[in-house]
Amino acid sequence: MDVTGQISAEFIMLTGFMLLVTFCVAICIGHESELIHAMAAARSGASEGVIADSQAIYPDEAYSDYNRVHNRLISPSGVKIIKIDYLDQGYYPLYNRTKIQLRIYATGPPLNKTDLNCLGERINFHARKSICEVFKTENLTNSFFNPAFSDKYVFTTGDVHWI
Amino acid sequence: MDCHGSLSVDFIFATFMVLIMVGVMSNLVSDRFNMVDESKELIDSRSLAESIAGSINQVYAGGNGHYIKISTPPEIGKNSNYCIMVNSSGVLVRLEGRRGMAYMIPELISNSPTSLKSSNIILFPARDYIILNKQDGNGENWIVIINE
Repeated sequence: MDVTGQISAEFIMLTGFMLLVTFCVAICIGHESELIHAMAAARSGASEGVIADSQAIYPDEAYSDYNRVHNRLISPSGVKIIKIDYLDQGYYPLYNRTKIQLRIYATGPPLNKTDLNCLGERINFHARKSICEVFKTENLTNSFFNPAFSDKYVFTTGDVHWI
Repeated sequence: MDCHGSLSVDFIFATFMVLIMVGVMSNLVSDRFNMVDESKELIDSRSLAESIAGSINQVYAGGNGHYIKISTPPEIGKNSNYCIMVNSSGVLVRLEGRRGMAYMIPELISNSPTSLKSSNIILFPARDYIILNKQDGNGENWIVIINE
């Protein structure tokens, strides 16, 4: 009997079944991985915002504003991210995407609420900016990167929760 | 059975998946690298401003005649287009449209040891400067910064 070039029916069925399962898992992972990547980008951006806050090196406009109104922010502040999570707000027909609100929790120095808001806005800005840069969607949004877009999601940010 | 030059379906599929994942993650990795570079620039800027403010405070605390030589780095991060301004408010570092201030104790800053007058002194990259404490006729201690 010629034994070359033959495989059993079990092997074909098993391979076919494995491929089917793998494709299904790959599709699910692909869908989830976009959100995971967006969250990773948000974390990376938030860290950049924290460093800008911590070192108190600001863009010219912000610096001039702080110099006039929020003088304390000219000095470095010890800011640390505690966690970043998100709230799935469902399908948003205006953008034809699922809307996700990022919620960032951080600790900071004992400042008044307006100063903390300034620090928080910078963290949020960098988180949104990073998402837009990773998914190359800067052209879809405004100069504040609000909202930020990925292929299937639109991201907004809530006020940073100071703990 | 001829087994040369054959690849299993698993291997081809796994390689394909790895290539897709690498492609997807490359943007994220590049974003991280950019972030690290920018963060380093911010930290180096702050560190330089604080270092100069610290030297000025040290000279001020040392009293009349005390001086320190400082050198400004040729670049911050990969950026050689920075400048530092020293005036009565403090030490201001400017880099690529960003600014940061380091506070210092003395308020009388001059750019000339012979005619002491309040000045706004600009320090440029890759230069050597002398920070000198000089007392005027009224017993006031001035900080004089001159290019070596």
